[in-house]
Amino acid sequence: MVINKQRSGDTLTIAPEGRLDTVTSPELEKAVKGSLDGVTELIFDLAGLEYISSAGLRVLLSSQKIMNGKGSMKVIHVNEMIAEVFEITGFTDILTIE
Amino acid sequence: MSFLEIKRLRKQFGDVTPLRSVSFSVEKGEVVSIIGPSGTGKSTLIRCINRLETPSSGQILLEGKNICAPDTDLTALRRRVGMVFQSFNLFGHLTVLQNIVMPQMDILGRSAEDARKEALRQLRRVGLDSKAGSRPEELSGGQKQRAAIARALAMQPEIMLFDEPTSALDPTMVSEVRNVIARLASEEEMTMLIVTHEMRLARDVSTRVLFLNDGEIAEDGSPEQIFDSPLNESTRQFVMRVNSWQWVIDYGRTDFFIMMSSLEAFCQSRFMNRRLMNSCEMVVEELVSGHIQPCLKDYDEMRVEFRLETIGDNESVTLTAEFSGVDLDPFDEYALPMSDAIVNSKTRRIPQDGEGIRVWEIIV
Repeated sequence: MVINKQRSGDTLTIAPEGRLDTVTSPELEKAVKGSLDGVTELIFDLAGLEYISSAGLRVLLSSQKIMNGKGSMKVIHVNEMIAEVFEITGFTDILTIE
Repeated sequence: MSFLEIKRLRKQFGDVTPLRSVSFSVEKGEVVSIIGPSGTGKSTLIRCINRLETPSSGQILLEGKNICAPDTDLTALRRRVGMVFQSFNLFGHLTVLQNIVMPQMDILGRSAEDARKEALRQLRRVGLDSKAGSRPEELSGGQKQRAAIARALAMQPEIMLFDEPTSALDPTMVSEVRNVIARLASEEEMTMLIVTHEMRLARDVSTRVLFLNDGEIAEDGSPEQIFDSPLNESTRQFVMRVNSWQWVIDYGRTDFFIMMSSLEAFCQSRFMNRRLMNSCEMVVEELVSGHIQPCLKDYDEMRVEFRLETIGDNESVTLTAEFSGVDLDPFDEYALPMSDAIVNSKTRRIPQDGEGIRVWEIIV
């Protein structure tokens, strides 16, 4: 997995590419937690994501919890396969998906 | 009289006897695939037929003439019997076109112009005419093998032998070579003998399949018989093994990266589409991370054996988990909600009578 990060003022965009699974999720978690200083808007751009498992969902969930206390978070460019997993697990109700 | 008849063929190398006693015949226009475990003499058999190997005993009759006889003209024989190798064997210092032109001039005595015309005709046949001027190193593996097939065809052989034509290829390139071979079989009624590990090639292209085991033919039948209802127990076990992915998980063996890479390689080898492959990977990952791993924390004696099986052209894909060393059902008692939701949405459970076993059908 490749993790692209882009900071613009208080907004941080994180774009993971490839697979977000049990093996790669800890990397993303580390990347998110280490970059949230002063961030009030967190955007996950999932355009390059091919696969997500519950391990990846947990990273999104814990990020959402952090951002609830300091601003907002949204998920963009969700492809059909990823959207289906969000739907199955009830994440469509938890996350702001655009 | 059959076109090709093999009688009690035996080949021994020192103490090793890869072919013990093989007999079968091939009629004109038949496409016969030879499958079987590694090291059972499949390639040795095919190499005997164009005399790259000399049989220890037995006979090979081509239109009734024994080609194992000491006075056999090998050059004349190889003109009639084309061969495609696993490793392409193209000359790197020549262009694709020159690779096909040269043997025609050397062996058939064709003029340069006739050989060039014929080479271009064959390259068109395998969809590679635009690469005539390229060198082999500029081609993908699949294109190299198609060039090698064109080279063999340019000799106008009466029978084509393929020795593992797809096994050196990246999985994404297997289908282009398979399609070329399938077209030769269906449109041109070329007589072919194919040694392969690739079951889809054997199943889709052949009129007959031979299962070679321990240097003998254990079963000879239609692709449907061999792959769907084999009569011989060793065939049945072999077909089941190549059609399934197996993985054991216990306290010491939970490396996800290795497990998922192995599963992905299996799914690719079965030519699953992206969606089906994703479902298989997700179900296995969630069962392990969301059920088995939490259970292993409490029951380190537990052992789970997974088997993913596909039938036909992935019409049905089932996952079986057999578990032992624990007196409860980890899939009921240790189900993390998110993992459980994903597994339930991607599978249909097939009820089983016994304990310690779960079977799911993967749905897409």
